[in-house]
Amino acid sequence: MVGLALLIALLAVAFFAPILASEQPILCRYKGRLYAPGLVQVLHRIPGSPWLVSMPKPFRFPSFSPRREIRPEEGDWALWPPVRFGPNEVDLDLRLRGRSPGHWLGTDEVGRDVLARMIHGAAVSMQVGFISMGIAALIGLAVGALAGYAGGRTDQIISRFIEIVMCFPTFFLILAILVWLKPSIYNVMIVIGITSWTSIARYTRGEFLRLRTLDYALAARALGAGPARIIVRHILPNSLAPVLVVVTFGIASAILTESALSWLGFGVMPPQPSWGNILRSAYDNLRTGGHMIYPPCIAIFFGVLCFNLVSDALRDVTDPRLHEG
Amino acid sequence: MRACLVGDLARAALPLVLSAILGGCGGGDAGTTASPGGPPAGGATGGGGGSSEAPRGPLIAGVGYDPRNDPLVNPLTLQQVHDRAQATESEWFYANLDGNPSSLNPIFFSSTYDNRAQGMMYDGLFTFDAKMTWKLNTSVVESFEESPDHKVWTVRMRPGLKWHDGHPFTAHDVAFSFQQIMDERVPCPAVRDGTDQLETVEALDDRTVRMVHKEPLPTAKWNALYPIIPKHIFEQGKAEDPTLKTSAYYARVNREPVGNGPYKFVEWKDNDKIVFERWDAYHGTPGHFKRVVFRIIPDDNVSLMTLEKGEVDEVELTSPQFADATVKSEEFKKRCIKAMAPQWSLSYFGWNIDGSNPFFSDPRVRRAMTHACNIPGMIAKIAYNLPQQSAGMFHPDSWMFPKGLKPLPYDLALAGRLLDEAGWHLSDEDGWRYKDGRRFSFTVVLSQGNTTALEICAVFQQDLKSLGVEMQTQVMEFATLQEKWRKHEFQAMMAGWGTGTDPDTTWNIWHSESYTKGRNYVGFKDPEVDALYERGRREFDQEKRGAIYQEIHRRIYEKQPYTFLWHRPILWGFNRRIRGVEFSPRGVWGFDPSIFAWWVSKSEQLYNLK
Repeated sequence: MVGLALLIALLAVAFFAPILASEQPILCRYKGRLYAPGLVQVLHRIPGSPWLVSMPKPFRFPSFSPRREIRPEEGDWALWPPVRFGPNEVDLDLRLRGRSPGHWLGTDEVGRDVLARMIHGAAVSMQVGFISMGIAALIGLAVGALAGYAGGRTDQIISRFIEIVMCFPTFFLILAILVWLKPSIYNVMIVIGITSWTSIARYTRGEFLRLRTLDYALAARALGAGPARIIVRHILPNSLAPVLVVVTFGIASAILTESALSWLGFGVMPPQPSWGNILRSAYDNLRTGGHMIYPPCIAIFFGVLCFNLVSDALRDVTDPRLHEG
Repeated sequence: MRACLVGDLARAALPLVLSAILGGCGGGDAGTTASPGGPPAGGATGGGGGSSEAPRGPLIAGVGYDPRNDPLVNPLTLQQVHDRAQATESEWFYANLDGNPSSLNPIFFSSTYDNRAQGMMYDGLFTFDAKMTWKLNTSVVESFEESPDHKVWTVRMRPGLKWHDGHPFTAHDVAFSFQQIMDERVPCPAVRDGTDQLETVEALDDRTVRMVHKEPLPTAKWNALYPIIPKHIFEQGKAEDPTLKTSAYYARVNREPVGNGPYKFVEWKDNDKIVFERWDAYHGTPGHFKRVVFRIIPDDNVSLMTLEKGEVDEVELTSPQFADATVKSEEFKKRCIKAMAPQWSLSYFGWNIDGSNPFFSDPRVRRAMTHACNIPGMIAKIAYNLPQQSAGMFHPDSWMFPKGLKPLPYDLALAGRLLDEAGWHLSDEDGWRYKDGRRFSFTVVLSQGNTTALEICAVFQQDLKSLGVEMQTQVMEFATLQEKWRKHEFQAMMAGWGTGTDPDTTWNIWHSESYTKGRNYVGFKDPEVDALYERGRREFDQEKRGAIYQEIHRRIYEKQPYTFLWHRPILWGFNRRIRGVEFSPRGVWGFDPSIFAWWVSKSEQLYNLK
């Protein structure tokens, strides 16, 4: 329960980052007109929406600074986010300051607000976790289903292949692949996805081996259903529960992997924030930027913990063997 | 007269010191009057001065640090010349190496730390001093003659020279070393490059060497600085193993070398330490330490800690260490001092102008970039007031710098006007700049692990964004990055150059032929600069040469293929008791006499071991 609550809170922070920490107001009146730049930025997080809703002028201009331009004496007003800094707002006069009323978690080595970067970093971590595991689940389910359903020689070949892939040290494989690809958050997601599908595939295969001999699968076959229909309609839905558990654990480890990659400088490209690269700047300024160490460590710890708690809970609910015991 | 093995570093055309320059280290703030590398005593303004001037204000650690207020910087004792009455000759010295050398054979030199360790043990015919002036090593050379056409050199060596094992050191060793370096089967490309500009090296008799240059050039003298190895040791075994490297015999002699320099080899424990002992039969002026131990410590945080504890006597410092950690540390104040001097290095943004991107072919755009880059602000706030702002390729203290040239000012309005002139107009739609439907959004490639560079980029990004230009950064592993540079597959880059001993080494960066076979990564092509380089290479008159390189400097600065950021200073930490340190434009090592002039007074001796 705690895990689920944490998880929902984390997802909410990630999704609503633009109205939690931004240099743009959530809602404002500027020269007699009403704008909602923060809300539009949140809407932009829904896939496809940027083509439907665009930022109103002048807020879409990179050189426009609402903080300077909105003047209360002219009747303008603004509803600001709780953290009034964007993740990439540099202020060289406030480098590596500790906690203060203006900057609740202090500032980093170029005077960016650490809290704002943590909030926007959460979005990156969640994206990486979900998208990479989405890719892994697709590959894993397809490969596992094929092996488990076909059985025999096909199963043997695929199983050996899975074992080969499992033998690669994943982290170094990712590092090696990232040398070829342009380093960006999307490539990190893809690479994590295509290297961490093996355990999903093995679980799926196991489930399929068990389920395909059950009566309802045999019944479907007797009724003349083709393999594709049996796999997709009958066996897959019943084999999803254990896979879901693996995927949730996978998200936790993807978040860790991303942090590690960003820490090494190969993950999310600066200046885009991520928990890993905030931790890196803390490490690089260890003697003077100690205040930056704790927020990303705690966030990574609790982020990973809550996914693990949720997947534990999922396993408790879905695994019949545990109920019997 | 002492000499140290420095030939390879001398010629190496501008070694890349990328992460060292940008990653953590800043630049040089040492005024403009300090003589290059000379002790910045009397009249030196800026960072060179340290304690010799009245402090200008309170000492602040971190942002707001000013080396002029720091009493630990360049105290008078550090540069005190050796005083026979006061000095002890039995002290030990602990030096710091940031990596395990690959070999102690100088012809296989491949990194600065190889060079540092090898330099203890070998002596050659020629050397150069802290001002990077080439000179004869008079402890080895008795007389030197040059033919009127500068082509043939006849060098007469002193009698009675010896190797550490007592075997005579003769002209045959000099000729033998040349043959080995030129032997294609010996894997020593770094040393061969340059040495191959000599046509022949012959031993006319035991003490006379004749060198013939392929081309009589003013820079040819650097080609003769190749390392010399003992013939009597390397001759054996050449038949079975022509590489001088792989056989068990050579593996042993390359690890336990016999040299002819001021110090002889004692022991080498991999990744731990290398020990040298003063060779009492040395033919030149001996060093002032009984033993010199190199401790191998790859991590800068750890090496600073060992310096603070007194376990090493010298460490190169990063800017944050220099301006922050060492200011706050009580242990450091108690036991150590800091050295700072101008260094001829350069940090820059390079704009790819070969036409592969639509942004930087236009010089107005490149000027706009420089005007948009708040270099003074970065120096004060990111680099702790340590660097000196750059106005082009060569350091303002050098003879290649055209006096009076000023850096372009930080001026966003002017940058905007230049971009407008170049056809990059602000869009009314989204506020970014466009030209022919293409948005001005480019990517800078930089090396991984380079914190200062990322900080610079974060500041630059914000200024460019306000102009409607988007700059993205891409961090890459260093080998991949070099590959991208070589293939010119980038829009903008950020990196640094060290310096060679002669400005001719920059041919490699600016001559148009270097686009395909050199380090002209940005694709700078200018027929006049090419012609000036050809002339500079052939001019023997120092004054005229100076004028040529100044003209090259001016023309390149005019075209702004780089946004020249700054020159970072030499930043070093020493144990308080060390004296006699001299600075060259490249650091405290790698010239004559360097460590061989450092000394300790009797009252401060720490080690009395036999």
